Amino acid sequence: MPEKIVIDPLTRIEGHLAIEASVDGGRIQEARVVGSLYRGFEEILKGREPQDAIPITQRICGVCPVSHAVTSAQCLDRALGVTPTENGRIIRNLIQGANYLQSHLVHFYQLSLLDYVRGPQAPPFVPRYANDYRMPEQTEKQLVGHYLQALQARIKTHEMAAIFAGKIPHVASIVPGGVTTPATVDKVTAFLWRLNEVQDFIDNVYVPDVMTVARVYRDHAELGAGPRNLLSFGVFDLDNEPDVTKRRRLFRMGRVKDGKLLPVDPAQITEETRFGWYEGDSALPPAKGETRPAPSKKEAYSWLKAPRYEGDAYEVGPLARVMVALLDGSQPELTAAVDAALKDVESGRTLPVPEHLRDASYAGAKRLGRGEGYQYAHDYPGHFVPQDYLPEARHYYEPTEQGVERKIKERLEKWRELRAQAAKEKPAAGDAPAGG
Amino acid sequence: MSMHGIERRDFLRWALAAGAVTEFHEAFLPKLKAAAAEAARAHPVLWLQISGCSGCSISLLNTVHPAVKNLLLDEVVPGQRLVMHFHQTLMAGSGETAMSALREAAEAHKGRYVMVFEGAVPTKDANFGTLGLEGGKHVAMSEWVKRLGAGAMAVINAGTCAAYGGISAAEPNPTGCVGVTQFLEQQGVKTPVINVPGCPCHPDWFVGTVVKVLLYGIPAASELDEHRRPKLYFAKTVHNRCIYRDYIDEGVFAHKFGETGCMLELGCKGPFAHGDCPMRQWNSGVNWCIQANNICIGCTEPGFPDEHAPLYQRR
Repeated sequence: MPEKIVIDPLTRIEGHLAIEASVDGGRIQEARVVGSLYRGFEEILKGREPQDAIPITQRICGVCPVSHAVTSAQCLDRALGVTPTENGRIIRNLIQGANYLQSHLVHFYQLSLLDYVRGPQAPPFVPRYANDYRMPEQTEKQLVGHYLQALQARIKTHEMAAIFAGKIPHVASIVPGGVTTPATVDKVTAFLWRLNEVQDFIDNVYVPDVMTVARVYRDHAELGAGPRNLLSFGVFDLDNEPDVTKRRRLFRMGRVKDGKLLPVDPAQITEETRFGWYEGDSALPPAKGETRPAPSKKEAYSWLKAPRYEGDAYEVGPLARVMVALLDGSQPELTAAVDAALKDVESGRTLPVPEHLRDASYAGAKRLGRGEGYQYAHDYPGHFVPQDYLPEARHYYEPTEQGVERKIKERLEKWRELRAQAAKEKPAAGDAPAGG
Repeated sequence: MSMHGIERRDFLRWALAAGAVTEFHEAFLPKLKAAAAEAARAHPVLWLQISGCSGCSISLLNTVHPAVKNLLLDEVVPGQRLVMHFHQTLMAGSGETAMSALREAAEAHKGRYVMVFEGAVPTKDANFGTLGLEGGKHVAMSEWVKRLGAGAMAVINAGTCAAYGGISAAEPNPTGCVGVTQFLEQQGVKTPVINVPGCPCHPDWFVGTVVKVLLYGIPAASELDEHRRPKLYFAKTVHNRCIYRDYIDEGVFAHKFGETGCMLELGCKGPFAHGDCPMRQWNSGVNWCIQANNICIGCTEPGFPDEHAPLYQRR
C-alpha cells in the first residue's frame, strides 16, 4: 500500500512550493510539485508601457532579478530595433555574472548545505529533520563556519552588481539599448577587487566544500536525476545578433536529449495548463499564452504552468549550461575543470585543511598546532607569499588567452613559479606545492 | 517572568551547544556564558513570506553591521537577542517540521513575539496562496496573517508588498492582494503595525526598526508618518536630498539617459518618494538608483507601482 508524503512548505527556496509524493517499498511512485502561490504577472504586465517590464518582471524573484531584467531589456532591444552599445552589453553581463555568483553561493551554503550538515543549535537552524548527517565532526564544524563566511562573500557579489546597477535585489540601470551606468575607472576597479576577493573564497573554500559534500554523499548523485533532458538558452552575450538562436554567447544555447547535443528552436516551447489551476487544457507558446486562473479546477494541483519542449520536460539552469558546454566543446578550460573535479570525486577521500590555516582563535588551539606558521600574504611584497593553501596540489581552473583571463593566467603562472622556487630553496618534508 | 526563565536556560544550553558545534563560537564562549548569566533578553521573531518575491529576505542578508550571524546567533545589540523561530528561506526544517515550529512558537510566546510579514495578502480566492496543511487541507495565507497578526506584540511589514500591496497588488490586481496593514484593519486585528517599505526593504531600515522595538517597545505615533513608516528613515523625499539637486537650481534637465541633469523629465519619482536612499545608499553603501544614472521609481510609496506608472514618464 503506497504511503502518501506531503512536504508543505518546501523551505530554503525562492517562492512557495510543496511536494506530494506516494512512496511504495522505498521508491517514489508518483510525485507532484505544487506551486502554492499565484501572482498573475502576465495579467499585470498587459497594457503597460513596455519599458516598465524591466522593473516589474524582476520582482518575480528576489534571488534572480537580473535574469528577468536582462531578458526584458533584450526583448525591448529587439522590439524597438536598437542595438546595445558594447559597454551596455558587457556591463549587463557583469551585473548578471555578479548575481550568478550570488545565486551559486546562496544555493550551496544557505539553501542546500543544511541538508548535509547540522547547523548551529538555535532557531532557525532547529528544528531540523532526523536526517542522514554523515560528515566527520571536524568537517561539519568547518562547513558551518563556511556557511557564515559565505554570507559575507555573497554580500561582495551583490556589491559588485550594485556598482553597475545602483542596487540589488531589483536593479536600476538596465534599459533598452544597454545600461545607464558608464564604465568609469573607479567602478571597474571597485568591481575587480571585489571579484578578486570572491574568487579567493570560491577557489579556497567553496569549490573544496562542494567536493567534500560530493565525496561524502557520492551515492546521492544517483538519486532524483530528473527528466535527464537538459536545455540551456545560453547566457552572457558576446555579440548583439538580433536572432537569439544565432547570437554568440559564452554559454551557448543547446539541449541534451539521450546524451546527444541538439539545437534549440524557441518555437517548440509550450506551457501546458492541464494540471495547473488555469482554465482549459492548452499547450501554447509563451508569447501566445493565456493566464485565466481557475482556482477550483478539479484535475489541477499547482499554480505552475508546465513548460515543455516538443512536449518533453527539460531541466534548465547551471547543470544544463555546463552539460551543453561540455558536449559542444566550446570551453576547453571548463571541460578540464569538470574532468579534474570528477576524478577527485572518483578517487575518494576528503583531505583535511592544513594546520596553518585552521582557526587558532580559541583556547586549546595552540596545543593542536592550529595556525602555526601561517603567513599573512599582505605582509609580503606583491601581496604574495609562497604558502600552501590546499593540502595537495590541485588545479581546477586553467585560464585561456582570452580577455582578462590572460592576465589571470600570467598571475597564476608567476605564483606557481615562485612556489616552485621556494620549494626548491627550502624543501620541507611533506610540503607539496599546492594549486592556486 | 517565568517565560524568561525558560529562555535563559534555553539560551545557556544553546550557547554551550553552539560552542561545541562551531569552532567559530568557541572564541566567544566566555562572553556568551557571561551574557547568559546576565540573561540577555530573548525576543521571539517570526518571519512569514506570503505573496512576494523573497527579495526583502535576500536584502536582509545584505546587512553589514550587524552581520547576519550577529542578527541570528549573537546579541543583535548588547543584552538583546533575536530568536528567529520561522523564516522560510533560512530555516532547516521543511513541511510539518517547519509548520509545527511556527505554531508552537506563536502559542508559547503569544502576545510577546514580533511578527514580520514579507509580501501582500491574496484575498480574492483562498487557493491563490496557501501555506502548510491542517486537517489535510491547505491553509490560506490570509488565515495565517490573521492568526499570527492577532497573537503578536507588534507587526513589522518588511517591504512595500506587506506594507501597502506593492507589485503583488499591481493593477488589475489579479489575486486581490492587499497590504498586511489594510488586511489586519479589515479583520479587526488591533496589533500595532509598523511599515518598513521599499522594493526591497533596505536591511538598515529593517534592522533599525526591529532593534528599536526590542529596546523601546512599540514606537510612539509621533515617530511614524501617516503611512506608519518610521520618520527616522522616511521623513524626507529622495528629491529633498538628491545628489542632482544642484541641476534643478541651475535648470539643467536630462531628456535622455546619459545626459547630464535632473531626471525629472525622464520620469524620476524622487519628489514623491520618501526614503533616505541618497544618504544611506544601497549594498554596503556602494551605490543607489539615481547614482546609477537611472530614475527613482518610488518603490517606498503606498501607490507603488500604479500611481507612478508609466514609470519612465513624468508624473
